[in-house]
Amino acid sequence: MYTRKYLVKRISMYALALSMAITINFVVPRLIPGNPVQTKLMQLYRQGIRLGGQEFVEKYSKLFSLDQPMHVQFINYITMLAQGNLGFSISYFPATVLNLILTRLPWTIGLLGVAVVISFVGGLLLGAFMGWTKREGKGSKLTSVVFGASLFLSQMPFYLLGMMFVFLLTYLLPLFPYGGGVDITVTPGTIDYVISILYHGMLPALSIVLVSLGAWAVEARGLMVTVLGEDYLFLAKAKGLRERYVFRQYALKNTLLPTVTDLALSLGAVTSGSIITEIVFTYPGVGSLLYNAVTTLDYPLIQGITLMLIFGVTTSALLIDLIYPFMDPRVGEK
Amino acid sequence: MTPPSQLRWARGSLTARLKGLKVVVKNRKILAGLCMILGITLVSEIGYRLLPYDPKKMGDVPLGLPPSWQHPLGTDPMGRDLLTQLLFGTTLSIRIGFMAGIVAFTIAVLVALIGGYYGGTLDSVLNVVTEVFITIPSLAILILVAALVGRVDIPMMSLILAVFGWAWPCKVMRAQILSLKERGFIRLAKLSGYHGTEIVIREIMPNMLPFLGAYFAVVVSAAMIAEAGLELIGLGPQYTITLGIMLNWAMVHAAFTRGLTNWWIPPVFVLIWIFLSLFIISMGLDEVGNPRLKVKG
Repeated sequence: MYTRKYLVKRISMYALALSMAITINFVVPRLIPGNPVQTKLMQLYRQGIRLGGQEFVEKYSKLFSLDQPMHVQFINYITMLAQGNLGFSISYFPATVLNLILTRLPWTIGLLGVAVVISFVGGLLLGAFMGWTKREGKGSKLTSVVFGASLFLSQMPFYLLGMMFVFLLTYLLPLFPYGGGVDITVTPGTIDYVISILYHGMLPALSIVLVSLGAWAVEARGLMVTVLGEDYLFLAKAKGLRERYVFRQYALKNTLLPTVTDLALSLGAVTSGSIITEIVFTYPGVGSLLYNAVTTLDYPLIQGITLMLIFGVTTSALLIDLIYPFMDPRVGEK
Repeated sequence: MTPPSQLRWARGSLTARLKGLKVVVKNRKILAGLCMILGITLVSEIGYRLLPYDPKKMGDVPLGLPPSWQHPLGTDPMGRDLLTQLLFGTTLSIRIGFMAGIVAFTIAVLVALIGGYYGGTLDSVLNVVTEVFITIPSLAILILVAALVGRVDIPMMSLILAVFGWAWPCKVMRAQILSLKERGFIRLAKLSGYHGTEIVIREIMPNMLPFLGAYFAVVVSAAMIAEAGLELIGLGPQYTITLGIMLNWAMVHAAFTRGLTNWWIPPVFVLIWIFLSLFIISMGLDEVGNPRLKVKG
């Protein structure tokens, strides 16, 4: 199924992305001049708390093995990661970073997963259809308006659209609730609970969906337009096949399958965007947790979330890349 | 394959190049986009200097005023004139966006040219690195770096944005170089005894010029989207005002849900204006570089 080159490339990409993320996580904090224990002490001192002097710094540096040479620290760090140990959060102490992330992760995965699937499938179909109407100049006014709208939306950052929604649909015309992921007065496990979750997630999801839908529609339309003149479509038509059948079985499959690899590549950007969207809507996902971590300077938490996000996105991208050859046999032959 | 007009504009003498410039100006989209971006730059650069208020000094004016003749956009609860903030912030946002754009664009062009033209193992390695940079959620790393570095100044901010903004245009450019490489005139140049660097500079670059312009616009736009996003959550240059920082203040003070539209709508509007103008420019340049688009698209 897979050619060796394909596998080697995908897996080396995955390994590189992960090792880069781990290295950045390890190196950047250590590039900052000064001993972190001392910095923390100074911070506390400014707030009027005096814990100890030089001997305190040395003791704690030893406890955090900051006195060890870099390579030993790095090995320690990797071992910790391998055990799934991301350390303790400072602002939510004694909660561990991993636990905090795990409680928030379902929200983000739910929001992002639904939004990505809807926008990918919907956008591609919409775009392919817009492209299909281009043949023999059958395109109507409506398709060009939809195309214009898609172009405009595809250029918007999620968060700006989100802000508009917050203002228009929760303040001016309060159709939707603002903030949170679910109504806390509803008992978990009931149907009302599910409805409440959907209700709260609607606007954040919509601001992600509309933008990505626009982008996918623009791409699919472009792809469709380029194959319109192909001989195999002409042949299919000459065989007397119905137009809808030609569109579905011939045009759609050929043009849209390669976009699956683009889906893998786009995950990073969508996740980036959804972090800020969550913050704008105070949605209880990982993005909001990251915001809290940033505002309280909770470095272990920031690092843990960054690592987790990169791990999640690259792993999903790898999975998509591994499934793709089963969907499109052309990849295996290359 | 290449239309003669395009070849002339790309490879000819100075007069032919001027003709090329004419093509660019004649394209309505490019012209409109350029006017939009130059307009907003001029208005903001001149505007905040004409206004008597200080965009950064808290308590400069009465706190939390609604719009009036004296303060057309009102003032914020920290006592700063909002119009002055908007104009000053626009200039700074544009500056950061362009600085980041220039750095990211340079990296992208170099990596694409080296990889795309010379090929081989180097290209495979560069290609994998590029795709890695595309796949990872760059904002997460941006947040990490910005949070850890702490006080980011404006050049630092631009640099951070650039490091994570070069990959996507690089991938597209590389694909384009690969297809250019197979064209007849490049082979001719090779047969005529030009060596690699010469071909890249004299043949490939001029043919990519309109596309390069388009990618530059896209890169700047992407850098500004990331910039405003980072600043929105409070991770930007400190003790100054940009559009994103204005939005951050507005968000922290719950301006969206308190109906303080005079505070957050103007920066959103300016941001959309900038994104749109850059997008229109890139679309226009795409048309110039790829004339078939105009007929078909």
